Amino acid sequence: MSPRDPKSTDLLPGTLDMLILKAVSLRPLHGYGVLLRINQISGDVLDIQQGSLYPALYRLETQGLINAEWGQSDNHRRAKFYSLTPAGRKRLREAAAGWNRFSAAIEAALNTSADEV
Amino acid sequence: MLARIRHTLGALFGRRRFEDGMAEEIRFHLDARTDDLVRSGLSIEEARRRARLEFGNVQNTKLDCRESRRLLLIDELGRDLRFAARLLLKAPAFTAAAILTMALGMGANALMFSVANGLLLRPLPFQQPDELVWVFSEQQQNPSERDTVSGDEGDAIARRQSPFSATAAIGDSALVREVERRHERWLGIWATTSLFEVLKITPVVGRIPADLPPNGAPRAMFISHERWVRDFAADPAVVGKLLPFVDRQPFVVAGVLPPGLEFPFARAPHKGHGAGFHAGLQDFWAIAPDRPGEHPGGVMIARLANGRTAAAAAREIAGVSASLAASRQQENNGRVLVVVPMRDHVLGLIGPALPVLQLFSGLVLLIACANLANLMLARAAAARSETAMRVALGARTAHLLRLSAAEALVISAGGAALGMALAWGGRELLAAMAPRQTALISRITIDGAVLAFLAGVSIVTTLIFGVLPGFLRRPAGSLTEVMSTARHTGSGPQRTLRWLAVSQIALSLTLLAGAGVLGTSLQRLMNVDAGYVTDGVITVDTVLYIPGREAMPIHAALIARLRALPHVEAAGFVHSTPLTDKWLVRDTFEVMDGPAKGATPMMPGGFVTYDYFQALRIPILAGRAFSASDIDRRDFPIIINDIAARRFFPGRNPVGMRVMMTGELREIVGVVKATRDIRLDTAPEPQWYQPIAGGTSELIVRVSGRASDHVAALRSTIESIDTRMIVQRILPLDDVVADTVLERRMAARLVSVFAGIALALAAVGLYGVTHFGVIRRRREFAIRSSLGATRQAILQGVLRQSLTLAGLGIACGVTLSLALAGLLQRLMFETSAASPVALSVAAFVLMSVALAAAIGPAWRAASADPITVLKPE
Repeated sequence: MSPRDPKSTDLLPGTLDMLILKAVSLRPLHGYGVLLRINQISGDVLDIQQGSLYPALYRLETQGLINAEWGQSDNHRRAKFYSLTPAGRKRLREAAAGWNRFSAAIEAALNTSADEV
Repeated sequence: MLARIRHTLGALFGRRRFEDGMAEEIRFHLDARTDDLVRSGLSIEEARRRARLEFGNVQNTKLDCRESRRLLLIDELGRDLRFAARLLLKAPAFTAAAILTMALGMGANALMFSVANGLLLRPLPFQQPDELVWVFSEQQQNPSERDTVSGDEGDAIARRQSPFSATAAIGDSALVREVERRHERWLGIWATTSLFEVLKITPVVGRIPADLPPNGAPRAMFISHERWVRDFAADPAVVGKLLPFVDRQPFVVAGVLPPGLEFPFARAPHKGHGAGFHAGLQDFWAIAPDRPGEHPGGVMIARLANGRTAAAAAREIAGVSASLAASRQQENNGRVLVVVPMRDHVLGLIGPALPVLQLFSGLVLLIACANLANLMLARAAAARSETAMRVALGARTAHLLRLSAAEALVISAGGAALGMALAWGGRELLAAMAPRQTALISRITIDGAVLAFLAGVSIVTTLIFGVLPGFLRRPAGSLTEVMSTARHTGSGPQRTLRWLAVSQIALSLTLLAGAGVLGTSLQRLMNVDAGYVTDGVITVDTVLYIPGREAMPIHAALIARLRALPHVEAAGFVHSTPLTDKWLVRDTFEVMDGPAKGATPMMPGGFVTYDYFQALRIPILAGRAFSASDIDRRDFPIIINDIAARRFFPGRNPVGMRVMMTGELREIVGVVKATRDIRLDTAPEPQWYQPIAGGTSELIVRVSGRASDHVAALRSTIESIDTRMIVQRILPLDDVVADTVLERRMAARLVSVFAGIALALAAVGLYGVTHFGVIRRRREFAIRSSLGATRQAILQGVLRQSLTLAGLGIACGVTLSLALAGLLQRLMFETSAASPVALSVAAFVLMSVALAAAIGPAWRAASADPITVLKPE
C-alpha cells in the first residue's frame, strides 16, 4: 500500500462513496477500519487517498446514509465507528445495481469482436 | 434532509466538539496506521513519517471535512456579519438612524399585518366559515336600515328550493334564575334547531331533538358548556331535567353545547325588534318551533349551498318579499331580502378601514426604505475612497457586495427586532382604546405569523437596500482616479438621493392629508349634535325580574335614593340606552288630529320614565316631560320629537293633539328635540316616547363632576336596593359613544401616528439630501464666493433647490392623495376624502419641514470660509 503501487488502480469518480457504504454494511467500522476493509475486499487493487476518506465519511453522515458513534477500538482507544442507516442501505443497493449494469455494459462493449458489429 | 439540517446545525452549535472530534479521529487514524507499520517492521520514527505521508495534508482534509458539513459558507457569513456589525458600530449615529428608521417602518407594518391577520385571515370559529351569511330585509330606498326577516319570508326561504344548504332563525333572549334568593341573569338566544346544521356543530351531551315538545309542554333548551360545568358540575344527567326560571315557564334541558361556542359575535345585526344580541359566550339556546307555516322569522343565518356566492344567493331570493306581498295583495314598499357574508358583518367598518390602514402602513415602510437607501447611498459615497483602497488591495466585487448585504441584514434584523417591540406596543395601544372589545382585540396577536412576515420584509429590504448600494459602492475607476475625484463628483447617487427625497415627501403628504381628513371626519362625528349631552352621564343596565307591579315601588325607591345622593343631578329609566343597539321598538303611529290626520307611519320609539330627558339634557321644546304619575295614568300620555312634530303637525303646536298607538288613543303632552339614538352617523328620525313600566330597563344618571368617579358608588347603591336587582353593565355614556366610533378612532389614531413617523422620516431624508449635496458642492460654493457671490445668493440657491424638491414631492403627493380618496371615502362622515383644506395644510406643513431641514446645511454652505475649503490637502 505504498503511495504508488504499480498494481493499484485510481478510483472512478463517485465509487468511493459506494465502497464506504459497502465496507460499513458488514459491521460498524472506524475510519481506519474502513480503509483496511476496502483494501482487503478489493485485494489491494483499489488505491484510496487516505486524506479523502474522511471528507467522504462526513459527507455521507451529513446525508444521513451512515451513522457515527463513539466507541472503543480493539486496542481500547476511543474511536468513531460508522454504521449503515436504512437510507444508506437503500442507496448501496441502488448504487450496486447501477454499477453492475454499468460494468456489464462496459464489459460487453469491450468484448465485442469485429464480426459482431 | 432532516439529518442534513440536524448535522449542520449540530456542527454549527457544537463547533468546538466537532473540531475536537475531527482532530481526535485523524489522530487515531495516524496512530493506528503507525502501529500497523511498526508491526510490519519499520522503526517507530519511520512508521510515523510514512503514516503522515500516506495521509496527506491534514489541514486540507480538515477543510474538506468542514465543507462536507457545509460549514464554510456559514463561517464566511458569520465573519461577514461580524465584520459588518463592527463597521456599523464604528458609525453609531448612522446605525442608530438606520435601525430606528427600519423599526418604525416595520413596526407599523407588523402591527397592521397582525390586525389584518387576526381579523381578516383568521377564520371564524366554524366549519367552512365563508359559507355563513346573514339574511336581512331592507327597504330599497333606505338600505342602511336593516330589519329582520318576517315569519312568512323565513318560511318561504326555509321550505322552498333555496340557494342555502341550511337556514336558521335566531333572536336574543334573556332569562332570570333565582339562586339562593339572588337573581342571576342568563343571556342567550332562541334559535330553530336547524342552527346546529347551519353552524355544523353537534351537542356534546344530549342530542338534537327530532320533534319539538307539543304546544303547552315545557320548551326545550340547550345550555352552554360553561354553564353546565359551573352550575351543574358537568353532570350528564342534566339532560331531561326541568329548569325553573323566575320570569318564564320552566325549560327542559335537551343537551349541552360545545365548549367555547361564541355566537353571534359583538356585531350581530342590530336593527329591528329585539335583535339586541350580546357578545361572546351564550348561556343557553332556547329552541324555537319551526314547523311548516310556523316559522318564527327574526334574524336569519344561513349556509350557502355549495359554490354559491352571497351575491348569487341574494339574486335568487330577492323576489321572495315582493311575491309574498303580491299573493296577499299588500304593498311591498320596495322591501327586499339581502344576503351579507358573516365575516363582513362581524368586521363592520373595520372591513373597509383595514385596506386603507395597510396601504398607509405600507407607505410608511416605503418612506423608511427610501430613508435607508438614502443613508446607505450617502455612506457608500462617503466610503468611496476606502472602498477603492480595498479593491486596490485585492478585495473582490462579490465580497464587497456580500459585505454590503451583510450590513443591510444587520440593520434589517435590528429594525425587525425593534419593530416587533413597537408593534407589540401598538397592539397594547389599540387594546387600551377598546377596553370593551376584548373579543375582537384578542384576535390580534403579535405571534409567529407576524415574525415570519417581518422576516420576509427584512429579506426584501436587505436585498434592495443592501445589494443596490453595493453596486453603487463599486468604484468606477482606478484607485488614483477615485482618490483624486472623491471630493467633487458623484452626480449619480446625488440624483438618486433627490428622487428618493421627492418620493418621501409625496408619500408623507398622502399620509398627512389622510390623517387630516380622518381626524376631521372623526371630529365632525364627535361634535355632531346628537341631541343629548353625554358628558357626566352614567348608564346602568339593570334587570329586576319580579312578578307583577312589585317592581314599580322598588324602581321608585331607587330613583328616590339616587336623587338624595349629593352628586346625582337627575335619574331616569329608558328601555334602551342611546347608541347601545340594544333594541328598537317600531310601532304604527296613527295621526288622529291636524292636517296630516289619517297618516299611519311606522315610527321608532322609546319607553322612558322619571327624569330621562333631564338626565340627558334633551331640551323640551313644547309642553312637558313625563312625571312619575304618568306611569299609572290611564290616558296614555305621549311625547314626540320635533321632527315628528314638523312632519305630522306642520305649523301647529302638537301638544294636545291625539294619536292612536297599539289600539289606545294617546294625547301628546310634549315635544322634545330629536336625538341620534341608533348611530351618531345617521340623521335623527321622527320618534315617539311613552312612559315605561318596570321590567328590564336602563338607568340614566346625571352626576356632577366626572362620570367615571361615581361608577363604583352608584353600583353599590343600586345593588343595595334589592337582592334581586342585577346590574348587567354600568358605564359612563362617553365610553358608550367612544365604542360606537371605535373603528374611526382607531383608524384616525393609527394614520396620524403613521403620518407623524412619515413626516419625521421625510424631514431626515430631506436634511440628508441637502446636507450631502452641500458637502459635495463645497468647492463650487467656495469658488463662487471667492469670485464675488454673496452669502445670500448661495443660501438662496441651496434653499431654492431643496424647496423645488419639496414642491415636486408635494405635487406628486397631491396626485396620489386624490387617487386614493375613493378608498378613504367610506370612512368619512360629512367630510370629503379629497379635502382641499387637508391637502393645503399638509402641503404647508411639508414645505415648512423642508425649509427647516434645508436651512442648516444651506447656512453652513453660505458661511464656509473659501480659503479653508480650497486649500490643497
